[in-house]
Amino acid sequence: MSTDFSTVREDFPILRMKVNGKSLVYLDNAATMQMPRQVMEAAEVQQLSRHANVHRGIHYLSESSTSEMERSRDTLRDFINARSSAEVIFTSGASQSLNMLAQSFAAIIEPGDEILVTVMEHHSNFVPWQQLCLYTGAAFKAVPVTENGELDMEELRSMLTPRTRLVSAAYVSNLLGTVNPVREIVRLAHENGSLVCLDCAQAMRHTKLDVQELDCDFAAFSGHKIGGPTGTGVLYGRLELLEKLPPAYFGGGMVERVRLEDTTFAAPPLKFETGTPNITGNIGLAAAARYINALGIEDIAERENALLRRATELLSALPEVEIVGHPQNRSGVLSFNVRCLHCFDVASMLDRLGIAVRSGHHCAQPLLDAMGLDGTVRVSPAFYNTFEELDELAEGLERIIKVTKGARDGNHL
Amino acid sequence: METIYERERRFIKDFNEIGDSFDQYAYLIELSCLLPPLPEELKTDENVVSGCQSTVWLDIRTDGGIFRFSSDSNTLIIKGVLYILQELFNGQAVSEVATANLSFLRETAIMDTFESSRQKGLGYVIARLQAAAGAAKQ
Repeated sequence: MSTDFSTVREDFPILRMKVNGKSLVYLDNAATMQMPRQVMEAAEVQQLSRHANVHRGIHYLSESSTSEMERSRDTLRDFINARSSAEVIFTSGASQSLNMLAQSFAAIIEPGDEILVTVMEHHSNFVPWQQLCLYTGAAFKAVPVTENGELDMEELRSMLTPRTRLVSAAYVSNLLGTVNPVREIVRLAHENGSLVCLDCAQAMRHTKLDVQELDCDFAAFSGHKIGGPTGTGVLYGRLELLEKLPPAYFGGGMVERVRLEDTTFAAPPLKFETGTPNITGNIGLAAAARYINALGIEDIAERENALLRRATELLSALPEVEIVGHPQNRSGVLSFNVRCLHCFDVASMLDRLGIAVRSGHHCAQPLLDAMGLDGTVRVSPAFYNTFEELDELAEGLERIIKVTKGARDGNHL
Repeated sequence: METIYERERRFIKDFNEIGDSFDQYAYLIELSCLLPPLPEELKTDENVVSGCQSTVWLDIRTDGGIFRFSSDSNTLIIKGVLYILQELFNGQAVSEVATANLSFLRETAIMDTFESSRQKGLGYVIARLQAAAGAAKQ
């Protein structure tokens, strides 16, 4: 590992904050990663010197905004190794990417067709397909997970049928951190003649997404999970598919010619980007991709995996803590519960100690149902976290376990 | 008997004297231990307060114009808050409960960690208690 992570915190002023009188320990990076100064500066330059609408006016600021946003698209094309910038559609995040794709699919799905997702999907890659199937008469199927929290690949194979039009699966589970065998999923789906969409939201910061090497047909991710602004994201689509798919949204900017009787649409990506885009956000997202590239995704992965392994060791050593899911390959997040304590109690008390974690269902209720749980506490370190912060987490949990002993003994969770 | 107002002032003073916010939550957890368990047969759908992120059950009695309720929750911190509400309201006249203007959630840091949906949920709990007291008063 060549990157020096000891100074990286200087890029994230918010990490110096005090919360409840304690130094902030921010371990909720799977929800939103903090933004580095470089992203804020890119957004500021845009606002101060180029702010105007894109793809519209013939004047200096508009041209300048347009070319900067299109340069950002090129940066993101390189970030995911797409063949063409036309394959990079700006969205408000992975949720919108997936919803938009599902809406476009409504025009090509027929009753009796099948969409295959997995039980471990975030609701954003579950509900849009479920609803699409409900109103098109297609069948909605979800691949189950094993006891360890891994995809049941045998089941996946058996659930593929000649009517499976699309397989949409998470690269990494946002609840368990399970890294799915996406290459195998793509291969099986393609052998079956099905298209494949990958929800890469939880993978992007620590996994090099190479859409050509993976050979996926669609991919979605959010900007705010890689240090970009909230409300930004990308839908990648193979160009020949984007050319065939109808747009989900209509209006300004996405048309070629509008007549009383019909409308022709612009070529991708603009065909899928109606209305004024989040110009500053998209430019910030590209700045985040450059920041991640400068640190090196492989180095980030090594650092974050080491932090996650340490967190797993520390929490496994606490007798009242139950780690949720035991996948062989875990990345990004660690879910757990404290015996006879609601995850909300644990997260609230950790917050009192300045430690930010996530609690609840993490928008993954089908997976929690499959595991017989109501919720979990989720820890998700990023490369700027330190091993000392994980010690603080473990010490905090020890305190919580101690002060709640009496109450937990009488609590029938 | 202490009025609801007097009981509440005493609680706010005790709670705020615990300087450390972690210890304040630990105190709420201790209070949760004092809440007698609600019999399973009273954990009905009708007794669930809708809109709460945590599950909260309320069993309200207003016999003879005296307000009493039992309660339970799946989260200990909320159970601690329910205990406080029982201490404030139980044994009081329904007219007193219906018109009480509670301020302990505003005057302490209890709500600081709660996201807005959970804050609203606690509001629904208090509203349901006071609505039941108001209905019994008429």
